[in-house]
Amino acid sequence: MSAASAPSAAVATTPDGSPALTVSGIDKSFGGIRALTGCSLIVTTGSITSLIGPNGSGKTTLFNCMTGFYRPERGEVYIRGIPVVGKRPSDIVHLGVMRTFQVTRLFRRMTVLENMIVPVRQLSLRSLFTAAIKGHERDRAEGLLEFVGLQGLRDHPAESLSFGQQKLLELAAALMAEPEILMLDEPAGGLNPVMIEKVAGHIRDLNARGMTFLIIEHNMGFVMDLCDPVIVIHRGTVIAQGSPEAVREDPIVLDAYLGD
Amino acid sequence: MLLEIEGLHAGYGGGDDVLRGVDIALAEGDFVCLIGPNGAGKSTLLRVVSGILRPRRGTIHFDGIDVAGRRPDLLFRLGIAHVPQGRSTFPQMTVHENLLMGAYSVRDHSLAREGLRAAAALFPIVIEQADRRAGLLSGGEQKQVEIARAIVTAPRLMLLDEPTLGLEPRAARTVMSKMRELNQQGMTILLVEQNARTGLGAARTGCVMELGTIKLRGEGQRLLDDPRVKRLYLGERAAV
Repeated sequence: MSAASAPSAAVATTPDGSPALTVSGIDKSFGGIRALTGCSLIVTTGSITSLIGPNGSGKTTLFNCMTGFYRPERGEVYIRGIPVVGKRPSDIVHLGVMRTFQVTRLFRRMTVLENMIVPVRQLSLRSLFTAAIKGHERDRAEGLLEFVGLQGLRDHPAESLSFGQQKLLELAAALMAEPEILMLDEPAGGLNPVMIEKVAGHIRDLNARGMTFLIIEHNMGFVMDLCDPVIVIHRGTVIAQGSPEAVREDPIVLDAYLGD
Repeated sequence: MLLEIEGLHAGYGGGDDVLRGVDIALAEGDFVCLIGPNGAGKSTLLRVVSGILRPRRGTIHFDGIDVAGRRPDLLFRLGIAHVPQGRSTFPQMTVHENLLMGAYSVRDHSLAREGLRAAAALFPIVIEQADRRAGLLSGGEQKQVEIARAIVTAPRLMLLDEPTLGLEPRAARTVMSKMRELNQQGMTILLVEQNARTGLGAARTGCVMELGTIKLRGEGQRLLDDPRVKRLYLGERAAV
């Protein structure tokens, strides 16, 4: 894919084999500690790709390098062929990529409903504070809040929600923007098992409509049921990737992560 | 009963009650796991028991003493330790210094040393990594340091809020097996765990919490096998 190709406005409807996200030879260190070493991976358009690995293996650091929060010392990240290292997180959002965080980052004093509106009004800060929340926008926000069971808390400040509810709000808000590529950092963490299944079902539906997912998760039931391929990262580099079945049986993965 | 709670109501600021009449009792040596939907009030209940949040109504007795609304430091001295959700190590301090912080309330130095020894016996990591800054440890290692810090004073009741959250599967299993060991040594544990199968499997007793009340209580394994509990709270598939 050419680095100069223009961003596609259309959402792909089937996995077409083209890369949605490409990470090429990334290094990232923190004060002498190597978090990522020559890390490379490809997320195919239309896939639900999972990124697993031990605590401290570099998963979240990789997310941060891919979304403009960190600048890697070496290597490049491409979003649908466009090099993005050096771009700001807001530029990445404009390329159709949204993400959530392991520890949620909400506007704590704003209400649940207001938090839902932030991602869709990002293009104009002024509209965020002046325009009323109504019409189609409000319907969509309320529909998503109902889906995650937060409709009754619509007018409560985000800080009044429990940890699990904040995770659900962040997920719902990310979905408001209808991104082409959604990166989720531990979406099942802190969620009730019934809600985890509901979220998995919703991800499947969105994926069927063309949304590409990259998901960091420790809940192996969730990963193995939902994701394909699974990419395993250990000590800052990819050590295995493939179908859930193949990864689950891989002796290198068993040794580094899954085995006793 | 070591802990006896009746008709407990609590909430935040001017908001509605999150706890709406909780009744729960733990005998010495119990290991109870609280499960339930997000926002049911599980973490709030732990916060009220450890004194971080004042109750609005109801009674809490710990070892026969009325403790409702008492300050957290006083409750800690009485033997209630709380390991909250997320990370709570002092990241800039070494592992050993983190443990010393746990012993701050112990005036008798030999008792403190004894507590540190006991914590190290169950969590060898606090010796192996004693001089490392806690913030540099992995999530699973930090959680072990937090629990070790909480047991330095030999508390009688341990409140644990989702200790396996964000931990890789292996680390989650280690933390859970340490919980069982602590309980076998006689520690009373009240555990909140979203990973309900793991939590109920480790605990002797399970309680289902919903909308601020305890809806069901039963033997952990029995709840795991109950089709209604499965459908409403555990989901159909095996998690982790």
